[in-house]
Amino acid sequence: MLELTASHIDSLAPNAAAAKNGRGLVLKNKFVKLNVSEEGDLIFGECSGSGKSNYICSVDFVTPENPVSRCNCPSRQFPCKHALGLMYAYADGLTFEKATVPEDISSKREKAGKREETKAKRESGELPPAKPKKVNKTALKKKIVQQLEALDELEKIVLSLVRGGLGTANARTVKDLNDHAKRLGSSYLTGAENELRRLALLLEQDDRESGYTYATEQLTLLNAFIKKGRSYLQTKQEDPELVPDSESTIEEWLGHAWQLAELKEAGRVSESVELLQLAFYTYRDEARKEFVDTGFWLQLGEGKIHRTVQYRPFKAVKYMKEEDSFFSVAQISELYRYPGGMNARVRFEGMIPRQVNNADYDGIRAAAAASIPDAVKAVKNQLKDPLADRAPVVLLNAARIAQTENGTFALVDEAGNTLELGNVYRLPQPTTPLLSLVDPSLLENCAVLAMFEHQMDMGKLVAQPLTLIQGERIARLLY
Amino acid sequence: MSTTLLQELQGELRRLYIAGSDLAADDFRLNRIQPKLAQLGERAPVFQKLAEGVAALTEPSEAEARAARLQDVSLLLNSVLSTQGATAAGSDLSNGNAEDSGLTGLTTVHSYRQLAEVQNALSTSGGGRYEIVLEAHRNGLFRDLRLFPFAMKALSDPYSELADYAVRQILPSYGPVIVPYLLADMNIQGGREEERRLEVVRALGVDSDDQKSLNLLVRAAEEGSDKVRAAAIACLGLHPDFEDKLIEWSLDKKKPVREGALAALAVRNSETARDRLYEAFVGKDALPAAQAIEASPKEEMLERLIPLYEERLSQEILGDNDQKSKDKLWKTLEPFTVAFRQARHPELERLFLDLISNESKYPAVGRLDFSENLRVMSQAAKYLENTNTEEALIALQGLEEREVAYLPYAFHVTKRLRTPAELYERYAGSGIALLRAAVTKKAQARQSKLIETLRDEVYAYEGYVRNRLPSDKIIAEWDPRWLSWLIDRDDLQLVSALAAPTNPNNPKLLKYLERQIDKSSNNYYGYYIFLALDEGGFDEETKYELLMRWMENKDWKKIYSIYHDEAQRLLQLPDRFASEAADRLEPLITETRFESIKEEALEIIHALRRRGAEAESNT
Repeated sequence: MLELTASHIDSLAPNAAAAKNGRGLVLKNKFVKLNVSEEGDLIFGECSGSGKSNYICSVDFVTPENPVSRCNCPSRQFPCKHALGLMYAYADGLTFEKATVPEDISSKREKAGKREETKAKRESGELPPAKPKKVNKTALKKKIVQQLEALDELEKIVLSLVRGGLGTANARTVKDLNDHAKRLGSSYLTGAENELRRLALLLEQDDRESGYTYATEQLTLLNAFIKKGRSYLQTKQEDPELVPDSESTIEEWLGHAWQLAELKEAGRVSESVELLQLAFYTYRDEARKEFVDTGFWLQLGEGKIHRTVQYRPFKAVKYMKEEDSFFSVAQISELYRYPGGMNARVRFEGMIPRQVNNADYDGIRAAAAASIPDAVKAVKNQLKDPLADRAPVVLLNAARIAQTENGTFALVDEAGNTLELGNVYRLPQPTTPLLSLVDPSLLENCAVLAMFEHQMDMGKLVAQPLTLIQGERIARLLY
Repeated sequence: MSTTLLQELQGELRRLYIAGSDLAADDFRLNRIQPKLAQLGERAPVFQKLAEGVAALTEPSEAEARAARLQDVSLLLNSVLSTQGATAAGSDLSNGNAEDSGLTGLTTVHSYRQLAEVQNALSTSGGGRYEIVLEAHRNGLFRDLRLFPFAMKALSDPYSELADYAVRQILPSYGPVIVPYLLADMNIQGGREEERRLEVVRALGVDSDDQKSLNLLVRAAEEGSDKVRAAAIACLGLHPDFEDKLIEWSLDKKKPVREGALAALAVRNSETARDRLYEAFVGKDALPAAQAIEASPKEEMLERLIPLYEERLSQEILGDNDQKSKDKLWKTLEPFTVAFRQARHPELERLFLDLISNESKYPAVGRLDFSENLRVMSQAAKYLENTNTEEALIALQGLEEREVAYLPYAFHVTKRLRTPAELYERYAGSGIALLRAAVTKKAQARQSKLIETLRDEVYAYEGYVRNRLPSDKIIAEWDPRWLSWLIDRDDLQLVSALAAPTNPNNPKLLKYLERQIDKSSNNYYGYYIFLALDEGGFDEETKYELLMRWMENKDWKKIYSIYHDEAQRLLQLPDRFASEAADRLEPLITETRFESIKEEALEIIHALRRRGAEAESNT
């Protein structure tokens, strides 16, 4: 029998408004018909709308990790509010009458089943693969030449900016940089496009002093990128057969969007994985012109902190699912791992939630680093590489979190080593001040998920706490 | 490794990035650092590399190459520095663990979507934010730790309704434990925002043991901007230690400061505080003192003021009653009307009762202008109305006889103390009342006042909407004769309010409603007509007939839409009338000029037809 909880339905909803509207339908008794299939893997019903006829909607749980919602309403959101309402009604324990599966759905199911079958056969080699992907070598060569040229162009504009100095930058410089960024995008260097736009944004910033510090860093980053990118593209130019480098992040910097099939081919898939989300946040990335939903997940048993990233372009915000905090354990059959450092990006399609149990909490404690110096060393090792992720996230064990005389907070480990807590520039909100509000008992013998960032001007490696974990208590300070 | 030297180099490179690498040639500060780097380079190769880079940067070369060198040195330096970041806590950790904030009941269970909506609402501007915050507060979202900073931030929200909501509802819900947080964030030179903050502090009260908060308050009271001073002083009333200061402040040159101090003294309520407050009340700060007493009416203070009021009301004033002397008199009386707004005291009741019953004993009142006279008298009448005593009723009825403006007070008390029949008889039914009806000007004024009072009684305001009382209340509390009385006076709105099923198919009401339906000027009052029909206990036939008559009387050429209410009524007709109704509606719509109305009407007709057909096949 189907198990549905309200929080699981919330996580399926594309955004908060859809979830709210779906609930509203149940509260207003808009469902005129509620049915469940004999096997209990399909719920369907009719919901009255403002029009003459009712909307006919259904949610199919034939593959429980990927429920399929269908509805004849014109909404472009999936699941729409009617399908969500149907699920809420089910979770609320309303009576669903048993009925046979409607014909149109059974035929759709059949088709989907066939698709799955052929896919499975192809994978096992019973059927020949669909179409071997052909690489157009001349086109690829042309693309690489164009990318190399664009890199040269980029170097020129960066060097001219360095020559003239950031102090002379004005609205015109910003506009030039933005125009140039656009050209980079059309020369297949979308990664560089974003970084150049980020530089332009830093020069526009109101607080010029901090803007200069980060702009200087951004200029050296571009320098590193140009160098590494050029040498990588040159080797690729000599050998067009070369598969994309799946170990380093250079492909992503150049603007490559990894496809799941590519990751699978490179062997970057883990099977039957359990992830527990420890922190989540969303921010507006003006340089990318996208919202970025970021989640930090602990891989249970393995002890690694992964990152999920979902980009939602400003233009498409209405039609894309906004991720949310997730409080259960996600059971995932196939986890795709992107190349990267300590918190490499992961992706998965579909998961089955399960309640967090005691063993999971023990797992969190076990996964946390016991010694501050060791953890800091690993962080610094990553930061040394200019193209690595600048804000690694680490799970640490703390004997206590203490407050110094001037009010700042610090982590203290078993051996008495300390780590000052502060606020990371890259995060949308400060969380350290919240530590003075939490239950003091939570600040002893706890695990802390913290984000690190090196602040050049201060010469400090700053850590910002995202989440505190103690026993069975998880206090998320961000989201 | 010498981090200071590296940090120094970083600063120099940053300077060059801002000024431009073209200026790096022979830069003397870099030239000074270079040998030091070279010296260290003998031991660590990384310094050697940096020394070489810096040397290449300053020596003569092409401009573009120099820029590239700056980039390269900076890249290397940043990589090295990234491994050198300081992490250890700077100062001493000996004072141990964090203190208990007292806010430990706050949770962290809400998800991003729930929180972000509220956080956005409180950190942006634009429409719809108030409702989001309101709903979040109702759903207890502000019990989440992460919204606490945003609740504090709401004090400075540009939309003042939101800021006021935070002051009244959200912040007080955390309890007095937040006072230290509120005061810690205070900017004593601030404006309205800080005033709001201190308003919350005043409502929650400062713990006498919390010396730090009290010091902050005193500082704000002494050094803050005028508004902040006044608000901070007003918070100190509960603390005896500040009494001397409060008295000093109550004599300050600045008016806001005096106001704050008087407010605090009213709360303080000690012998000295009362003396000073009384002094201010009879002196030039009469109104601020009155407002302070209004906010905190203490028995002892009232006992000193009531005799004074009585004395002033009963004084004989000789001489011309010109505007100047009227104004002078009002100045001595107005503070009392302010101070007694919230007051309850047996002495006050006695005084007001006497004032209403024997107005002539208080000649001062008679010398006031009408509006001011009204203020004094209605305050007394309102006070008596709330006592619900027989004496008050007699006094108020006497007042009502003398001046029709006070009819509502007597009416309310009569309604509470007497039976519905008695109420009707006194105001509408008695022989005298009927005899006098609509003859004299005074009687007319009385009648219109009565109808106005009735309207307030039976259409109670709920928010911005007036709603009719529920019918069980109408039946229990109102004499059925009112309906007939109101029909005679042709007040459709009140008729519909008092229509009740006491007399099935009430012929008088029916006739009245038929007349209303036939009056073409009544197009907009359909709501009241059908409300009266619904509530008046008529059978379905009558209702159906009248509804159809209403539709047929409409000038279909001139209407622009079918009201939702009307459409619903048509659709909800009993099945047996459905097909006939459809037949009667169909010819009407040929006259309409708008396709949309035609479509809507056709839809209704089809629905009725379907229902009719179904009903037929069932029988």
